[in-house]
Amino acid sequence: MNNRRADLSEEDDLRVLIKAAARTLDDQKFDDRVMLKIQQELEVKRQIANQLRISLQLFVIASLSGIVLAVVYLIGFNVEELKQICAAIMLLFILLIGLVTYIGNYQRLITKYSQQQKVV
Amino acid sequence: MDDEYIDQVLSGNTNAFRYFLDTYKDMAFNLAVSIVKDDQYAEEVVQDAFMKAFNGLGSFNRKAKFKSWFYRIVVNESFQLLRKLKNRVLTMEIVDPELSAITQHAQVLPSKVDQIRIAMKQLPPKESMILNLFYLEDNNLDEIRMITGWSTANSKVILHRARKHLRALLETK
Repeated sequence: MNNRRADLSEEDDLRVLIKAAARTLDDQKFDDRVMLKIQQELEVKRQIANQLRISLQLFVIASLSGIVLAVVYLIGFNVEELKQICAAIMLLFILLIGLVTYIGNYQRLITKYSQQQKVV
Repeated sequence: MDDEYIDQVLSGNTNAFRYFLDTYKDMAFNLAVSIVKDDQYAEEVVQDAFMKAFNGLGSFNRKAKFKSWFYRIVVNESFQLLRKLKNRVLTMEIVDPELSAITQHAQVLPSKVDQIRIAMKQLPPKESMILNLFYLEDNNLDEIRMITGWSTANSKVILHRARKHLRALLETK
């Protein structure tokens, strides 16, 4: 019984001492600094949200404009013209491949010729 | 009371957050000091903890006390910093100017409060932290469990060990 009482008294003493030894955050400007940081962070978040909203709006506007333009343009075309354009694009593409192949062959010929000259 | 201010902050009145700064900064500082053992680092930890609390206020579950939730952030931040600076903090402990000032002062006038402060700085982080939570903030073991994430049995063991170490340190003074 006496031991228990002594333990409790010791506990109370310890509690009082630890409370007395407690520290305080002496920096007077601490609150202001945290509040300033919070304000700055909020400002950054607000700016990012604004930019995101604007870019989203612009994206929607651009997409809609593109769709509208494409539809209007396609309506203005007749099918024959469209076929001709497709054929012209394909022809251009084949010509490009041919040109690349020709240049490649020409380079190979020059290399072969110059090597022969060196041997001679 | 806390809930009122949480509502105010969430409704856009950021200045209402000053209430939390006024109410919890000292205890958060004590808690952080007990873990990182350095005033400047502790101040940084408290600042970061307040920022995290502000940003996470929307996701705060009102079933728990704000105090427990916030102290858990402080504890996590402190241990995170401690992990980062483990070697540096250990070196600093030896040359901590405040501690050496207290020690010098204690040689002339070894007041109990000074002895407690020195001993708390010498205790391992977990032990000084639990002493702070239990004696300074009068948290019960259930609240300590919520703040630290330890089981009640584990908290009891650490608290018992902390008391024993503290007594031993005080007796050697």
